[in-house]
Amino acid sequence: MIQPEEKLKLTLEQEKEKMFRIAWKMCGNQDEAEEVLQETALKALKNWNQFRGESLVSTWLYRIASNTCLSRKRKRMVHTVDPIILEEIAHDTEPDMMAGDADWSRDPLAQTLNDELRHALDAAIYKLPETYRLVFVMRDIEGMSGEETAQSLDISVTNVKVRLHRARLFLRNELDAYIKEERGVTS
Amino acid sequence: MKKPTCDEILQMINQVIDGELHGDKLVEAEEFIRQNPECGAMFRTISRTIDLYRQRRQEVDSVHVPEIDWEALKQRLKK
Repeated sequence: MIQPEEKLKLTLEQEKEKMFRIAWKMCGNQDEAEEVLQETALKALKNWNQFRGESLVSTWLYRIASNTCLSRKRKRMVHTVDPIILEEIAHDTEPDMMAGDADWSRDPLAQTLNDELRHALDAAIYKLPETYRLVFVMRDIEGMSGEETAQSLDISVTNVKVRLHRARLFLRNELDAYIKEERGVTS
Repeated sequence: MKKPTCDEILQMINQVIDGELHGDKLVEAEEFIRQNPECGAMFRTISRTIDLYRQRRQEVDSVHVPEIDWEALKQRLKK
């Protein structure tokens, strides 16, 4: 028989990679994502006796993690991340992040285009309001279901859809020039 | 047949992307997207946008996810 606290630990260990990626996308850097992960674990341990079992443990943990991300953002009173800072972050983390990426071109010109696109992707997603970004990251990037996302964020499934559709359209418009260029190159 | 509004078309495109349409409704939507170049372009560019972000995610996958130090957290709780 698994003890309740063990169940919490097991679930968090199973979900921590996905949680870490979501936190990274929300916070914009690896260090803060690590802090969010630890803070989520701490809050979960502290409030475990308040968990009523009305949702999955993982959903409850995602709710804690997303609230932690949002409250950290609010505390800093930063609503958008400066694209220049994002560029610095991307360059700082590039060597490890790109290791073993088979699709990465060795052509310097293509590399520049890919770098540009990568920065454009980051800049566009950080322009999204946090609540829309969370839904987009959970649904489209992490592949969570509409219901799971709704429960994690404590909103309705309809609300998830509305935010997701708006986020997709916004990002598509922001990246329009890059996608057109890409299609122009390949066609 | 009543011409669908932009909102209805967008909703339909998203339903196709999310795999929410099945059977005749899916065939009908795919046909509509095929026959309307603007809708087709919208469908492809939204799908491509999602693909690009999934590719970007793979870069984060190669980063080591930190261990959770449960003992240290318990100590912090005791304080």
